Amino acid sequence: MKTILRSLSVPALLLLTACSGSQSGKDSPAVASAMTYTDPAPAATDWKLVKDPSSTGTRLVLNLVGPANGTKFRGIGITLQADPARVKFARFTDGAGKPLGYYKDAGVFRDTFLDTTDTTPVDMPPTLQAGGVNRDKLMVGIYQKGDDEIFYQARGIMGPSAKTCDRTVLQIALALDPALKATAGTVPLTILKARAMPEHVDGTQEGQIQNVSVKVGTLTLE
Amino acid sequence: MQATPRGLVATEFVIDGLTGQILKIWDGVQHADAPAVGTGASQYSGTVALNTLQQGDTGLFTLSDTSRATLPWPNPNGVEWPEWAGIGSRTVAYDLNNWMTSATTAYTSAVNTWGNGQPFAWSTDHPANLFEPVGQTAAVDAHFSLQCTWDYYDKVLGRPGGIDGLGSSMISIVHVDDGMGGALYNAGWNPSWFLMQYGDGSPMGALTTLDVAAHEMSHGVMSYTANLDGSGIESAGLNEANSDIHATMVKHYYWGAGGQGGVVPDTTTLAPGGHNTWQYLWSMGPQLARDGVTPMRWLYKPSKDGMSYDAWFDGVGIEDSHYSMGPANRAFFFLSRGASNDASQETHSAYLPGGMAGIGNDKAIRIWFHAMTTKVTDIEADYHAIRAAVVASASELFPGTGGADSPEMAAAKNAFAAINVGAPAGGTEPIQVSFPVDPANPLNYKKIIIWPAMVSRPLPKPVVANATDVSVTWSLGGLSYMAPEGGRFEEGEAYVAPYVHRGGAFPVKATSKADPRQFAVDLVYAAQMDTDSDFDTDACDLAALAHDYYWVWNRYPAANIWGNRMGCDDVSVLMFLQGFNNAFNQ
Repeated sequence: MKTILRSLSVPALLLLTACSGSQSGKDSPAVASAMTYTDPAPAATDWKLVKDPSSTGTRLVLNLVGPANGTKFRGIGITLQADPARVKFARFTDGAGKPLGYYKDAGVFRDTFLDTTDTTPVDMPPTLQAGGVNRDKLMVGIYQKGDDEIFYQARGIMGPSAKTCDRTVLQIALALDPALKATAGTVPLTILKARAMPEHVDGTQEGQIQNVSVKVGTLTLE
Repeated sequence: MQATPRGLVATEFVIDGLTGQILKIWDGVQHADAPAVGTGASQYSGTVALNTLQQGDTGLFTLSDTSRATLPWPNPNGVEWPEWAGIGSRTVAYDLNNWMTSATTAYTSAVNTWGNGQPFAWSTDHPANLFEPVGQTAAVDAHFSLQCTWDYYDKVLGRPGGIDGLGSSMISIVHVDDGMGGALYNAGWNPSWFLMQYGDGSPMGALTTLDVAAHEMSHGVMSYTANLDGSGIESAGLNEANSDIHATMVKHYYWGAGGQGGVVPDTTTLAPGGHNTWQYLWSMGPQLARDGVTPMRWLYKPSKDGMSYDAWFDGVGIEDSHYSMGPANRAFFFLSRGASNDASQETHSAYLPGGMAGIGNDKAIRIWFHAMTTKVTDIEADYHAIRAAVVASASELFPGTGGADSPEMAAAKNAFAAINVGAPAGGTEPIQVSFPVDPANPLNYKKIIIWPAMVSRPLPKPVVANATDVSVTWSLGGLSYMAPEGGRFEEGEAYVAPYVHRGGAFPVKATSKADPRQFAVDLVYAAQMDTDSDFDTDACDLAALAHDYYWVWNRYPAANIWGNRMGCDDVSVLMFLQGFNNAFNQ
């Protein structure tokens, strides 16, 4: 057979294939042993997730902080997505190491003078809170329960008030689990949903429950 | 002073001294109220004798029986209804709307004859004929039925003091409406008011038959004895069964023994319309049907109504108590009349295929009542606890000899074995499938799992006792009262309840492979928790719930475009948090 170039023989093709496989094995990424986090650079109107000083190399505690412009709110909830094959959402623990929930309430939305069952309208705490994990999503939320103006006025006390949120509102945590044998590199953290309750909850366009922007930093496994 | 049909009368006059005209005339004797016996034309029991009371001041008769109750109506809520303040049970008409919140008026008669035996037609008789003879008829039946039931408890069961055992008066209110101006299709014992209420909404009008009245008064007696209540779920059905059982015995006592003596006979000769068959006697409310024979419940075969159950299973308590009562009704029937070994008969039980002999009404009801008054100590007692109480009662009243069961003890064990509760006499415990209890569950029935709709849930882990093969098969449904359809199984033994806007309950059923007669039913309460309608359940859905709390007193009338949970309350929040934590925070 006449050709302009030399054809590869069958043994040569098999060799290329074998070499390709061998090349892949040589470049396996290293298993990560620590995690770092770089805080985001949000605008004054943004919420943000920033690293808490209590974080360690294998446990990252993130603080959810409200806008720096002093806007007042009555609550916030977020859904954060992360690859469960590389990091785990972690629970907080009490002083004795007993597992608690997937978030820690910083108490911003709680009016402590209302936090007894005899001064709230009914036997529910003055904030509604929930936190949990659904596969690759961490879901947390804290909202003021609201007020019953007549109830509170009859007792000569104020109902819950909206709060500025330029401080930690709640904390969440991620952990590096050795059992996952996660590879080094960046782990995307994505806010799928963030919804805040504004100061004036009146059903007008300004007083509706709002989608808000939450800026997330960069998580890197090393 | 002169003798009159009413007794001595001292007639006094005021006379005009100039003209001699009588200006005023009255009887100067201070008369006391006097017991009397009147005659009533009832709708369901023919012509009956009624204990009544003649008022000393007016001479009028009222349907007040001072021969039985000796203490005043307890007036538990301290209301001021003068016509209820006397001694003796009373029957009054309900003449205003809104259930218990309005006044009542006692029936009166100048001649001590009552009713006309005709049904009260709400559409034409209410309210115009409320106090006419046709309106009195329901009161006649209620009053007569109450007298019969009182005497049954007194003469047969040795409880002369009525509901509370002390002799307190009770009230029967007839012509109770449904709160919306229509005829109520129900009757009830109201423990908060120590009275019974009867509506007119049945096909035949008033729900004042002997068995219905005996059923309701037995609820009253129950509340002062074992006091089985609704919080135990199975106990609620057992309470209902207790009432059906006594109602059946009252019918036997009156239609079989004429209300005389201290024995409940096994047969009758006086049933209305000549319906003296055991099938008629062992059914509830046949007189309320247009054909006069089709009942609302069948004690010997409860499932004939298409809703009730013939045998116990773990989860039967989820059902309405008027359906979960079925097995207990059937157990008592078996105890009294036995069970057939012929599988083609309605009195056959697959759980006791060889059948059993009954011990008769009188022994059966004494064992049952003794259990309820001396053996049941837990107001949330379940079917197995009631079996233990009844067997203990039988052992006490009819002890065995030489360590062997007496026939009555054996019958008690067999009667419950025939409804799948416990071992038969001399037999072994059946395989039992059950689901674990969740003590943190905020619902009364702690096996109902609150779960977000459309979120996959691991199947519960059933416990299979008394078996070497503990494997089960799964299926949807298993409860007649709940929609059997809906939901799906997923790989990995997960179950998904369907989307429902306001939530719903969806059963799953685990059946023993070793004995397909044995199964348990678990219930998922699928809560619609997607309050912001983004087809996902997450913590942000709390926002709409929290937002709703600001919507008080119409302060913010504008629409909340985010939420579809307008008007939520703390129960909504508890349900949300329970479902959320069950699914995402375990």
